Amino acid sequence: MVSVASAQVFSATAVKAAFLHRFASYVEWPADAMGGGPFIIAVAGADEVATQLDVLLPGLAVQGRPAEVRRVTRATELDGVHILYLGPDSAARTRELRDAAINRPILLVTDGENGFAGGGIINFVQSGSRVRFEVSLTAAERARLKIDSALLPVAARVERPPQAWLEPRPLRRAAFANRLDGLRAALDVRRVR
Amino acid sequence: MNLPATSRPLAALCMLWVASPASAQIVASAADQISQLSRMSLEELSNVEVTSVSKAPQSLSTAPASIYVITGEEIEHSGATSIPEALRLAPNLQVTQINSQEYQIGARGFGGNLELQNFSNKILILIDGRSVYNPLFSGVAYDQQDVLMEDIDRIEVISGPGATLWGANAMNGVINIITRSAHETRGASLRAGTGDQETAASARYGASFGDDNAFRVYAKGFDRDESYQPSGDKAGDDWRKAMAGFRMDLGSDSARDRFTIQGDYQEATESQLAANDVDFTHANVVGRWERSGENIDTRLQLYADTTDRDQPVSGVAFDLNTYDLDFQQTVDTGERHQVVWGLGRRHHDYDIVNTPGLSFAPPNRTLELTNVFAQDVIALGARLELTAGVKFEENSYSGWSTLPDLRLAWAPNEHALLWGAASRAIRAPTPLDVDVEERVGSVLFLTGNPDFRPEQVDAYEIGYRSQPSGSFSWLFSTFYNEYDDLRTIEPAVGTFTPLRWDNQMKGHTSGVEFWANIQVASWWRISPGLRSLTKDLRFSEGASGLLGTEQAGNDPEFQVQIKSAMVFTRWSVDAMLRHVDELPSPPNPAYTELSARVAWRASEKLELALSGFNLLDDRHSEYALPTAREIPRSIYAEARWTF
Repeated sequence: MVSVASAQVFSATAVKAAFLHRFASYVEWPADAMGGGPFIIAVAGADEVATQLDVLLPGLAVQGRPAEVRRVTRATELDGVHILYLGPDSAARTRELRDAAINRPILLVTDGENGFAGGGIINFVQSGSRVRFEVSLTAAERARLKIDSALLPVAARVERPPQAWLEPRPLRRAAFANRLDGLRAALDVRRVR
Repeated sequence: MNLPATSRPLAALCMLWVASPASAQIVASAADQISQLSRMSLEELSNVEVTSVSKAPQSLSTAPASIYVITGEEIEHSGATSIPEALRLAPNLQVTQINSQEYQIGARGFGGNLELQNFSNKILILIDGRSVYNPLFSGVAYDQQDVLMEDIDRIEVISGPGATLWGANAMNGVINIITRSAHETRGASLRAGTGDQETAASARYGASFGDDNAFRVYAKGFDRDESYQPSGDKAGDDWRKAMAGFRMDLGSDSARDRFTIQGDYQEATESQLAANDVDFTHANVVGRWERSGENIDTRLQLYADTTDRDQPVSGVAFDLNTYDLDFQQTVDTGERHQVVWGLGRRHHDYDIVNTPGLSFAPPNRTLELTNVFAQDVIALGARLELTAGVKFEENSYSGWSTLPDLRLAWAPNEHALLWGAASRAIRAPTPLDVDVEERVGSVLFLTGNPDFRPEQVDAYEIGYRSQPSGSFSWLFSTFYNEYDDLRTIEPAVGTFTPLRWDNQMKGHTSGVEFWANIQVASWWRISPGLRSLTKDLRFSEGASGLLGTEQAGNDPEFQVQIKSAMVFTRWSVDAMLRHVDELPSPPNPAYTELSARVAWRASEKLELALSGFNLLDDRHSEYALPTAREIPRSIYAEARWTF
């Protein structure tokens, strides 16, 4: 049976904004991608998420530097961007953005797409009334990003580079993830404090 | 000769085919939410309940059209217990309650003129993709349109034509009612309520099964009390309904392939003043397959719908069966184009029980509706988008129609959209227009017209929407509609009777629509809205002008509303004030009414709510007609238990 969780209900856009900020702590960018500027989260086709980040980011340090939101519509605006979120409103015109981001050290986050067909490293999915995410290690490798293994147990699904013989059976992975869950939660709380 | 009086039987009878009760999306304020969420771990974030993750409402916020989205939360907080009452939340609709059982609902005018044999017949209403207007006369029997209200995800209300995508009848507006997927309605929910106009109860249970599948089943019932006659006597129009349904979704909401099967069954009994009860049963089943591909999204839908309506004395009883097959594909062809195309076919068969006063020749028929359409959204630049589409539709009476639509949208910045549109739409002929025969005594008084043409509109619109900040958004649109071939009544040459339907009226309407959402504080949202309408209609040269141009619709010139939504940790307080201008003919005075709801979350599982409707008057009339009724003030108390 499903429990009707905490009485409080949030807007999906706020939850996604919080996720985007938190993802940054689980990713290691190549040194050349970090530069000296601020940490930039770019958003396209999701104005509400950008508005949430406007509220969230001021005063927060990400990877030891100030963080900023940038609303983008074309590839030329991607310089210095660390995370690019392509929201569900993004129409045909964001294809250019997507293609440009795939070949750079940018954490491309897509939303509700068909798995990783959209080239995303992280993809938001809907699971009942919750927002979950999937992780593609294949796409991360291509973008030269290192994903902290601590992110993976929380993911709804993890796509790995084809190494079939090493792939744990899905069932065992789930059990393993469950055990890690408690540990992660404890660690994470400490990190926040 | 008193035409309106003698011709009233038809109006009254057709009305019997037709039917039979505010706020904002309640989420904690942006600032509050985000600061709370920013302190959560990934696991906690993954387990947070969100209001709606659905894709469409967000995409709609960028659509170049006058669209108001009523969210499920808004409906819940308004206390509305029926679809027509929930539709009052849309500032771009005109909702008129006729009596305890019936409503007339329109957009941009043409809300019907019941006294002059006309109905709100230029609007398309869909429930989960199933068209629910009655093909016998193009009106909507709102007593028959029902779902479990708490399962509604959202209602998209489009004012203006939507014929290119939706086709038949999407002439002045489209109402798209969408229920939640079974994945989103897991768990049990029991509710029961009572008040001076209604007593109701419902139960729903949903769960998941297998890896990625979910189902729900529900049952509900209600008893609605009588309205009043102008004399103050009760109107004898109380009614009751029992309804049950299910929905099963195979594949998660983000899976590549998703199958949905859903259905509902209902039975209702409606009392009538000095006549036997009206009974109807209605059942439907819908099957849908959706595939999300890399560049192509595909949807195939099939449904069957059957209504059996029995009206013992007045005699307009009918059986109506509908089968519909619909295929649609969205193709993202590359950088510039997004193409939607599709085709569909709908089959109706019906059997009407003729009476001496009102009959149809023939009384049974099959009607076919076939369509094929394509639309391309072309990115002309980073901020300029052109939408061009056309639908070709064939109906059994008037053959093929061409329904084109052209929209140009410009985004001056990330927060705003300016658009202009030109479109053509029609209302297709129905058995009421073509096959009807009305007799007064033994005299054939009115006949249908085998050459009846579709009523047609060429619609032009300019709109602007903007969200300058997270706490403020607004939309303004203005329209100019050019109508042709509107339905009229023409006398027979020399003998006057039989009268015959014809297409001898034309003219234009214009007006504006405006609404806004203002987050005044983290706990308080205010949403004003208004609409205005000017009509300039005339008869074609040589037409008789019988019944006047007011037969096209008895519409108010303006309507304003203001909604207030307050939310606290355990309490929420919502109210909606609406003012509707006078109706010209038959005249009904302007009125102002208030509805309000207070809800208290007693525990995680239990919520208690008290609603009040039409609070400002003991009774008020929304439509003046000898057969129309006055609606009393009412209150309703409800408990909801979820676990």
